[in-house]
Amino acid sequence: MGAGLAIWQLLHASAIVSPELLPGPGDVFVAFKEIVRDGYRGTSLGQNIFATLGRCAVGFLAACVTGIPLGLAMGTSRPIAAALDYIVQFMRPLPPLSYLILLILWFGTGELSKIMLLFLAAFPIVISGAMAGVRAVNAQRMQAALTLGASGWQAFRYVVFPSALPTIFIALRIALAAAFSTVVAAELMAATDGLGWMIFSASHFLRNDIIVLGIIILGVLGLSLNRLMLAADRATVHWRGVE
Amino acid sequence: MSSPNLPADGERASPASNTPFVEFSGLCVDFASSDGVVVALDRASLSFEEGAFVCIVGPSGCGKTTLIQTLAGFLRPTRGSVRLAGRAIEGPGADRGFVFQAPALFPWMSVAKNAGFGLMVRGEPRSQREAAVEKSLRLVGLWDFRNRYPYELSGGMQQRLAIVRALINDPKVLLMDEPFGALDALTREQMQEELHAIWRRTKKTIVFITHSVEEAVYLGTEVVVMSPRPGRIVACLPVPFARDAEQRDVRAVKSSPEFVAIRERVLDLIWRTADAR
Repeated sequence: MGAGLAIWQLLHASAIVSPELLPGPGDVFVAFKEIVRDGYRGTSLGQNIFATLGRCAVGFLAACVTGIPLGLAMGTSRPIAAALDYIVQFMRPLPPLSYLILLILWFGTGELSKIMLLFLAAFPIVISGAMAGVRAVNAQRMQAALTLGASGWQAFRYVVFPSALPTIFIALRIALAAAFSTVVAAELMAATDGLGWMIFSASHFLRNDIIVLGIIILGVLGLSLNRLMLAADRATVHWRGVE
Repeated sequence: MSSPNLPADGERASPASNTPFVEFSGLCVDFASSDGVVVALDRASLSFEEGAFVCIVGPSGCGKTTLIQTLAGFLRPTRGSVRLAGRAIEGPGADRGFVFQAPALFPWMSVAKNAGFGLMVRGEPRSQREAAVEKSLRLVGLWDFRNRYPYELSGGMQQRLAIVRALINDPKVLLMDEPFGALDALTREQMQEELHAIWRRTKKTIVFITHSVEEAVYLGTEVVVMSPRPGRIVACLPVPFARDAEQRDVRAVKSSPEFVAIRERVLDLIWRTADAR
């Protein structure tokens, strides 16, 4: 972190890029204090962070609630997988921005279109992870459960689902990152709050210090979300890598 | 007890003494493979009584695993039948415990939960379950590890847990597919002793696959020799050592002339199946 700050300061001081376009660490810290005290154009920093994280969380949770059961069903049942897999695999590589304009036309410029966008960014990743997780179940563990008297449903609940968890958790972490990187784009298009909106708005006023500040806050939030997911993973899938 | 005039009833086992406890008859299992049909088992017939300790030996590809999997219900015979206490095998069930070479424990459950899994899924009340788990884990020295996870145990302890887990349901027969194959030599002999003790105590019928002829002759009441391509049963030899005294000296038994003679006879049979190809 110290090295990053030093390089930044050096770049700023060398004036390779005009100092007005590349503010130095000091300028950004001043902007940070200003934003914390006064907010940005009537919106407090907390409000912007909350708006961005809130959209992200709702879209991501919606993708979990629908994607995990559907992916588990696809992993368990061949007909369901055959029916849905092409749709999911078609959606997965699509850049969400390519259909953002359609979502705005369909759902308006309010929260719903943004949440739908984040949902669609995360959903194919979650569903693929859950499906792959089910397929990774160890055949002998299944046989062991059946010879111990487990019914099909019990084998699913006590063997298939926990077997799928390690893969599901990896997918959730990737899906959250995808939702988070999409949220800024959504806020650039049509929003009145959020970190993406703050960055986009600052660009109109050549407030590059606020743009850089916004990027730093996004980076820190992204890192924290990843840490949080890793901690949840370690707490749940304690057997990862040691079984 | 049984009356010879009972109507033929395919579902109910008659306890007639002439019905073998386990009976493979004319068992054929074919697999489809990339170069046509592979005959994994060809007309295998074998039967034995309750309380037998049946060890199956033979080179790779002789169909030992296929044979035991039809009894477990994991595989369906192409032709022929497998019966347990007079009933045809329909699929996997709690009356047949299975122990794999890799213990196939559930790493997301504690040692105690693994041990009690069979009772749990079968709806046994909690108090009875816990009492049974405590008794079984104490018996194999795993009680102090009850709150650990399987991956925190040594290989031998994991396999002991797998055996406990399979036995807690009190199955009619315990099926073991090379259970000690991945253990070091010393642990392996210790496990042989423990299994022998379990067999003497519970009088369980055990079907045991192994690559080690010595292990088979030491543990089995009968040793079944199989040959590969196609998998066939070559011989079924009665062996006396398992029924000998409760406390036995491993080294003394394994180096006795009687033991060596039977071991060499089995090895000779296996060699001959290899030569015949």
